[in-house]
Amino acid sequence: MPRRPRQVLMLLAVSAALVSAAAYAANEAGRYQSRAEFLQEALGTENPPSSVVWINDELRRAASKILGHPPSMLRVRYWYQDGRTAWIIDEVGKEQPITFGIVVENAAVQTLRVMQFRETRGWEIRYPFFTEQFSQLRLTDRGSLSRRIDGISGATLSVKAATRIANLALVLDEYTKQSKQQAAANH
Amino acid sequence: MAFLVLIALTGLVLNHADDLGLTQAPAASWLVGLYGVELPPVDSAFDAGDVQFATSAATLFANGEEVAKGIGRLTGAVGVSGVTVAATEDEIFVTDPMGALIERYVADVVIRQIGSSDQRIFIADGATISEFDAQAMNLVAIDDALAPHIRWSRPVAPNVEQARQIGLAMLGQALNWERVLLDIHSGRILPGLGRWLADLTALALLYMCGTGIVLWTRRRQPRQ
Repeated sequence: MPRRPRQVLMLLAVSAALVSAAAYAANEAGRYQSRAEFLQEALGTENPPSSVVWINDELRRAASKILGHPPSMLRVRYWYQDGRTAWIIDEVGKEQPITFGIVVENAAVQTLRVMQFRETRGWEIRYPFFTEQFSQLRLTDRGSLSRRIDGISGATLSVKAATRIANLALVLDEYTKQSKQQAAANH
Repeated sequence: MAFLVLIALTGLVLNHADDLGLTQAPAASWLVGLYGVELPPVDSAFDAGDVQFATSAATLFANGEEVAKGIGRLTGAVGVSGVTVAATEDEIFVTDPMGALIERYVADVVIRQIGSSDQRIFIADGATISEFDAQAMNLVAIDDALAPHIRWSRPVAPNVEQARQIGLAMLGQALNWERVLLDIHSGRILPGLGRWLADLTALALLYMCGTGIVLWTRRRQPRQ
């Protein structure tokens, strides 16, 4: 085969591979885990007991400090079983909300899952190499996370969203524990 | 000179646009108006008590204020005692009577319609009708005998003022401060003349750099 046609064919093949890769990447956004699947994985049952935390002024201030904006909802639902709490919280990465599922036990994050991703970029945060970094994260005395989370090139805003939500889930979990202890003491 | 200072300052700020949050901060609505772009349309609207829910470009609004992003097609809205509820094909949004989001519920069925009867909320997925509990946030299938009494939500014409507010908000999201600063930096903010003014400033800067080096070397030579 003459040299020029071979080069053209090579160029076409590389272009096709790039287009396919881009199309594959574009399809990565979506719902990866339903609520029932997450709860089954997190607490061992699809229908664990649930409760809600109303975002009062104190929590609103704390959440705004963590998120960099006021929380989008007036109450946050959580599910609990055997000392574990499971939280499903949305947070915007760049433009669209990402749905995170976080399990907390003994004031430490057990697992963080990306349940639904709606952004066009940054979906790599769903993979275990990233989410496993959150395992055993705690709150420091200053209310921040006990360990630094390594970023992913091209997914900076999604990484930041995941980090903020892990921090928020720990704060909410601590708040619920304190509220229960206070209620028990009052009785 | 003033333009040179403007280019330098905007360049400095643009370099830290991410850290300053400018990439996500929507530009002011008056600025959006100056861009002369047509307002995005409202896709659909439903009334629920004192709140009108409307969607534009996958964003849900209540009385013109943003409630949630990344939503599907709006299928209806109802108002019952203490809460208003809007439904898309796969989610239910519970808000307070002013339209502030209380909680967001992902349904496991495709919601075709939402309606109310006797302060109770019902959704229809095509095959079955279920009652929605806005406190427990769950769906329970009901007897079809109740169906004739349910008043299903119907689309309404969007409120003109709210539609304008929504359009400006959507434009503002598309047009963030980073984009505005970039347009100032490149001179594109002034139609026609601006780009040439920026080019002229850049050339003048290069000219000053060049002549500065020449002058510096000429003055330096006699000393040696």
